[in-house]
Amino acid sequence: MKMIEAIIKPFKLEEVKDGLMEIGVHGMTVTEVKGLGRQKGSKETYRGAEYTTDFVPKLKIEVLVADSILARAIETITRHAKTGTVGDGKILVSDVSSVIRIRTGETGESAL
Amino acid sequence: MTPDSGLPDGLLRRAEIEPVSALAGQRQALQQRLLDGVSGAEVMAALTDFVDKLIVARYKNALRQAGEEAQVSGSQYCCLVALGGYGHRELAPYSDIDIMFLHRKNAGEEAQALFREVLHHLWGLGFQVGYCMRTIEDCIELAPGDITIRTAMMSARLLAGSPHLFKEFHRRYFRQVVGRGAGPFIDQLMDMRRGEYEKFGETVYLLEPNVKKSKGGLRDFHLLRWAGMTKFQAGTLQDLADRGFLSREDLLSLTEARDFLWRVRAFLHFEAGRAQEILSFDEQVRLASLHEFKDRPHLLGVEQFMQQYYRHTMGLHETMVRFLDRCLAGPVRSVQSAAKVDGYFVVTGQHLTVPSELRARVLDSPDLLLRLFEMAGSRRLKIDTDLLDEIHSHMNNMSAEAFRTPEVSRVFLKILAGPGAVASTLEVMHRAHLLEKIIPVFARVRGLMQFNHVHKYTVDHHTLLAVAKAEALAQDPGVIGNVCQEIKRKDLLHLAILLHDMGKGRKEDHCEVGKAIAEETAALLGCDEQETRTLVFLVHKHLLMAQIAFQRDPYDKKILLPFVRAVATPETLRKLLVLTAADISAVGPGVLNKWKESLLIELYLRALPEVSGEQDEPAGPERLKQLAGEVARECTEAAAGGLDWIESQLGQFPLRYLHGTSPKQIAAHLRAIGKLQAGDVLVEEHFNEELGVCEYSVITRDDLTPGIFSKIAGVMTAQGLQILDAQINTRTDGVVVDTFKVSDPDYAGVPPAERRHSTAATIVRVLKGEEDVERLVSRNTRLPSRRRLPTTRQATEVQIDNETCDRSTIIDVFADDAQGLLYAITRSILDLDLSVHAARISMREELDQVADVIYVTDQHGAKINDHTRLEAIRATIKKDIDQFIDQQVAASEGVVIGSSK
Repeated sequence: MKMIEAIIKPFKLEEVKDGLMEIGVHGMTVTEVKGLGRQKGSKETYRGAEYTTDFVPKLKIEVLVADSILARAIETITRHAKTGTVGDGKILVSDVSSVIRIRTGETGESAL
Repeated sequence: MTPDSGLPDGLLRRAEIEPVSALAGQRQALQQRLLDGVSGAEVMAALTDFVDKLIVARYKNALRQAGEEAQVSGSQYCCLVALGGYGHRELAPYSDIDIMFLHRKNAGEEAQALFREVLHHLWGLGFQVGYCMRTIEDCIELAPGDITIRTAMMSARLLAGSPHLFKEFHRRYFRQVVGRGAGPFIDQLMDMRRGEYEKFGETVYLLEPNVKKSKGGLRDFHLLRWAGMTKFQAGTLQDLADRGFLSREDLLSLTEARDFLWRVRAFLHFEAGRAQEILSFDEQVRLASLHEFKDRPHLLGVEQFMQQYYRHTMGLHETMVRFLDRCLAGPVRSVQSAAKVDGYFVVTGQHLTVPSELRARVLDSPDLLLRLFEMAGSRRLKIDTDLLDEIHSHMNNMSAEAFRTPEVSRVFLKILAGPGAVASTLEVMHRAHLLEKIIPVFARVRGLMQFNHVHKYTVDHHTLLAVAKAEALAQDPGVIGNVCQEIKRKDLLHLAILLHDMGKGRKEDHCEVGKAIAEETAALLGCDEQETRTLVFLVHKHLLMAQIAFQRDPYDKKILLPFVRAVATPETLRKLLVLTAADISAVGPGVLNKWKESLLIELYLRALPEVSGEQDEPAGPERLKQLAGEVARECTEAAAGGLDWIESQLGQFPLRYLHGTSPKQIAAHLRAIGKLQAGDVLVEEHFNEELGVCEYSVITRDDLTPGIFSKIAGVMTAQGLQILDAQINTRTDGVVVDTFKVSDPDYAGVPPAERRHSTAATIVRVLKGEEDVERLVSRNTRLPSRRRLPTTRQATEVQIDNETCDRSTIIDVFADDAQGLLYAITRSILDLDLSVHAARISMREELDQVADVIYVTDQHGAKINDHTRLEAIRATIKKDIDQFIDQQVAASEGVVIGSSK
């Protein structure tokens, strides 16, 4: 099992979610985050004062998937989250040693 | 006073043998009776009786089995006392039981064992028990320092033990504690209650209220009762009413509200099997159907039920507040002695009222009523509660038509504009049922709930809260706060916020319904065309900014530009930003977070330069100096005048010129200005490699000829050039610097120098009056087919923005691009006897649209303020543009047909 953490542009959430649903990923956690990457903060001038958004608002989605669909999930996220401009985000993949469904106590892939 | 417990004898006997199952049986029986329709009060009284009997029986039993010493002590030196709600015989099915073991100092250890016996028994039955052991002295010492203890003991009721002891306690407690310091006690009560409001909801209109502790909950009723006991030594509502401290109507509505809440609470407890006080969505649906509220088209049964709930809780809360005010008011001051303000109103401290002899006249006059609220708002005064009551009941006899006077509209907009307490004044007007006379739709949304999990408040409350949030945002130190302060027509903003959700509760899309309501309201209030347009737009599109900020890419021009086009002016953009932020934050606590704010701000900052047509950056002295240095490096001749000369020249330019022009070009302009003689026209031109366009700068003085801008545009048109971007700058000293970026469809790449020179020379001749621009244009009219008109035509939009700039009227034009369009627009402006001071013209190639922002004044240099004239200007320009484009389309179609033959 793998944990996919993807940092994406906020307005891409619906597309990414729908894409993941289509390939059978039904659960995800979404968090409003702010971050700093190559996009940097944008610098805007406002009333003479430079208004710097040091951190850019992003969404983080966390998806737990079985190894078998990892590649498809990554491809789906990449395809839907892409605008081709700087700041499209990143996808992080890590190993998950175990998963337990609290309600039933099921473990492993059946708990996904 | 003891109601019949309604207990079958068998059940009581069983209670002694099998108390746990007896209690369960009793609860079950009561639940059935509640379903059969008995009141909440009866259920509580019956349960109180049942528990009383259990306790008394157990106490007597323990007494019988105790030693002699304990028997004496237990009947003479001690007693069991019911406190709190239990003391009042208001024991809800799963309420806590508060009891006190009152004893004399010499009662002895054994007596305490009796109490433990009772306690263990109650625990064994599964009750939550609050208990204490005190002497009379303890009570008198503890009570003043702790409001919970103090109030709990105010409802003390003897259960068992020495009646003498209890009598003595009661007498001393009421003399030494309750009867003392009514004022500070009521203040304390209100402090405690405010703490609860913070925790359980600042508003009556919570979508999932706590029936006990939310605003308007049973606790409000308790507060009123405690205050009445302290201030008037009256223990019951009836008592208060009999002695004239409570009006008959208040007594009736309080009793109804209390009984309603008691019943609801009993249902909640029974269903949950514990002291559940939250009226959740599920319970609302269940109770609505139990009370036989039927779904009607567009209004669910549950929504009707909750409207009733809010009506009761709101009434209860208001009555309580008024009652407490009256308790605190002290002796009535002579109204006559206080100074009258405005002939009718009297201000004493923070209170505003109308003397009784003038009341009838004020109540009958909508104008005066509005002035009353305006004064309360602007001076942050509190209107006398009795007066509000009178207004409320008087409103039933007044028609909405009486409120259709220009004075009412004027004062209402003044209330909306602030400064002062805008939201709270509106709320008082709403409570007094006066707001709905001005905006009739408010009657429909009173307590209208929104049955979804996003919103926390009812429609009317959400709306009023949003106005309050907008007021609060003005104090925000960030961008939104700044934007808020810049808004010039706060009245329109607040009115738009007030109306934005008024379309809710109907089958149709609430934005569309809201649009119609905004149009009606604008007509009722006598708004002019511009005001109406702004208001209708804000209400109709109140979701637009949030949708784009949260769901679309603001860096995508195809997203941004239509948004900009819809918003059109900076002032509308500012209003929309504040409305959006206020709307979101009024959905519930914490819904508008920094993350969402930053997305909104990002969109705002992206859109602002587009709608204002300028980079809004004030140039401080340092920036000017720095720029002067850069310019000096670019041109040695200009530097002859010294840095100071350059700096003083720069200081006369509008900011957007300094921001948007390269030092190199500024240097060229200054060189020309240095040479400029009276009656002269100088034209600078060069080819900008980077952009692939020719740039023409025309330098002259504004007194040379009227319509300079229009004439230059005419020359460009006659030459077949296409204007991509134009900036018109008129300096304060009358020097005109107009720059045009044009593309030349006749030449790919760099047009030959002769071509550029000939354009420049024509401009000079036309401006000097040596050649007539109109003749030039008509002679050189080209086949319009060289630039294809957009296949799908967009409606031309002309907007007047009279708010953004103090000195000029701003005309915003969005139209399909067509060869010669700018000349058509500027000629139209010239024909209207307007003079252009500044303009920013830009082509939106992505959309085949032009967006023009033109600052104009009348011929005397004054801003146009006459609404009829403004509307005529708007209509004329729009008509001229449409006519022009139609001609172009007709001509181009002619060409197509011609070539196909």
